Amino acid sequence: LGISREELARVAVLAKLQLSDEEVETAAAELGRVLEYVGIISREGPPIIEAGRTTTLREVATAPPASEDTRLTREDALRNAPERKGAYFRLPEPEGAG
Amino acid sequence: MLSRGETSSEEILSSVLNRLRRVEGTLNAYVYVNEDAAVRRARALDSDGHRPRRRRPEPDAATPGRKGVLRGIPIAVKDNICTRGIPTTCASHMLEGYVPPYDATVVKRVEEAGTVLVGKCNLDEFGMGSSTEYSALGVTRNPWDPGRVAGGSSGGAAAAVSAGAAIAALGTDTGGSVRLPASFCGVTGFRPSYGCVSRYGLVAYASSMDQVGFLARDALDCAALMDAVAGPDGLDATAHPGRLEAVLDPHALEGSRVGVPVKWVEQLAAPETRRAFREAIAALERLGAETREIELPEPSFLLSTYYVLAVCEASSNLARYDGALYGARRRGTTYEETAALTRSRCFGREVRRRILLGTFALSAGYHDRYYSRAVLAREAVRGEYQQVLSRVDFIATPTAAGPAFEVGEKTDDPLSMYLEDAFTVGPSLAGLPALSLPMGFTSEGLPLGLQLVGRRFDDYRVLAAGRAYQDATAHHKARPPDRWTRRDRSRQ
Repeated sequence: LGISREELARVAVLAKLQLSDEEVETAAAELGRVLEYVGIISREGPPIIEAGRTTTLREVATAPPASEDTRLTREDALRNAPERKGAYFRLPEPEGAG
Repeated sequence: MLSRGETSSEEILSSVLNRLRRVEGTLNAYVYVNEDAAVRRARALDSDGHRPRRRRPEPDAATPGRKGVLRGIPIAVKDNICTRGIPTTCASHMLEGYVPPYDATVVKRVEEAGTVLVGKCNLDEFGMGSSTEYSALGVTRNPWDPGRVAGGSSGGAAAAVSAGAAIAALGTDTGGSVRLPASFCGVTGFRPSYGCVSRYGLVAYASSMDQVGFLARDALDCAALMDAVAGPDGLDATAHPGRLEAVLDPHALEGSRVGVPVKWVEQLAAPETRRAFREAIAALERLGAETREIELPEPSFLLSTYYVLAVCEASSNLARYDGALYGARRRGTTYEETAALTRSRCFGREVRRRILLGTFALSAGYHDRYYSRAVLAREAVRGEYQQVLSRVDFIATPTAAGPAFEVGEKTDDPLSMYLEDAFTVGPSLAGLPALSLPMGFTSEGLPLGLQLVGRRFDDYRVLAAGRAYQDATAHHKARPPDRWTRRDRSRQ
């Protein structure tokens, strides 16, 4: 139930994390030990009886009250922006946008 | 402790700030001290004619947090709870410079209750840890022995309360983050039933288990804070619509049934913990409780279920940090490169580890083996706790297997750190109220904790039982040394 270096490299891309070769090596070993431990839920856990059933939580549609005192102003929202242009957040271009 | 003596808010604050200045260089409990604003607030409260109450509520007080009881009391807030206009870092480089534009509901409510915010407390980054060593802002040390950890992740809050650098604190508990540091630092810590207290403004780690909790000298003070902040909140869809009646029955233990998972305790707890626990059980029996042996799911099963769910939810919750809208940014040439650079450089090692684990456990081919199994396992765990709690009123265990461990002892072995939560993750999975009470000391003078767990929404019954225990014992009155020896300091 361990994790190979190749799998870890793939997971790092999904997690938007850059890992050096050395970090991949260390993380694969550390995560392997944790995965081996938590494997008990696959070996001894209750069987998955109903296909596709993952939760018993009820779906409750809620609409938080958008009262004036909880709504952020544009300026409040922009105040923590790493970079802004006028009344907008400024972001680097996505890949392939050029 | 919340309102004793005839004094002003400013005098109480001044004594807390003096204490803070004296211990902070050694403990590193705070990441931000709100001194000027706190002094202004205390003066305003005093000039408003509201002096702190002279006496604590009586043990049979119908409403532990009755109006005015918290007025003028200096409290600390863990730094993963949003405070409008005051930095909130989650002890992470990722949120350096972040100043929330809103208050968490709990912050708003303690302010309405008249408390004075002393500052924001250190934690394991984003709440991910059991020792407050995984903080980007330095390790918090234990007031009973600065060579040891304060526990985590609310380690700063626990150390501050223990050392007298705050009267009480708001912490957060996902898998034990209020109870474990309370146990290690010799203070009282309470995790309410899931849904009793709004999570709005608590920076999310594992939302299905995250819960705001309290650290204070005793159960009565925890009850006062609980009464001030609990209740429905339209801003948190998981907040329970009902409101619990804040009654502390002084006879809560008389005729009650207390379940003890004897095999668990024998298997996990260190000899000195077992001895203190036996004495605690004897004290509960003297107070009229009838104890009986119970069985609970295997600790390894509980820990595995908890950690799979926690890392999966963490990987999802922390996906929002991409350097785009707030927090840190390490700029690359594209959005994707910027996000990866920011996340790799600004998240600490343990946070990256949990994100990787969670992403793996949710990825195609592994989702069914880990996440789906853990969701079902949690249902089974809830069922088992429910069944046990239909036969007993409370479950008693130690809060931790032993006392606080040495700084650096477990940081390089994530699994051994995770195992510290063996006694605390069960109630988290089942959404149950759980209280950690000081229950004695090791031969080296390190505090040990007793955990009392109750039925869902029996929060005040659990607090009342804790109150009854503390009326009959003195462990919660012990204070850490006032000065540390040269040996203690040299071990820092």
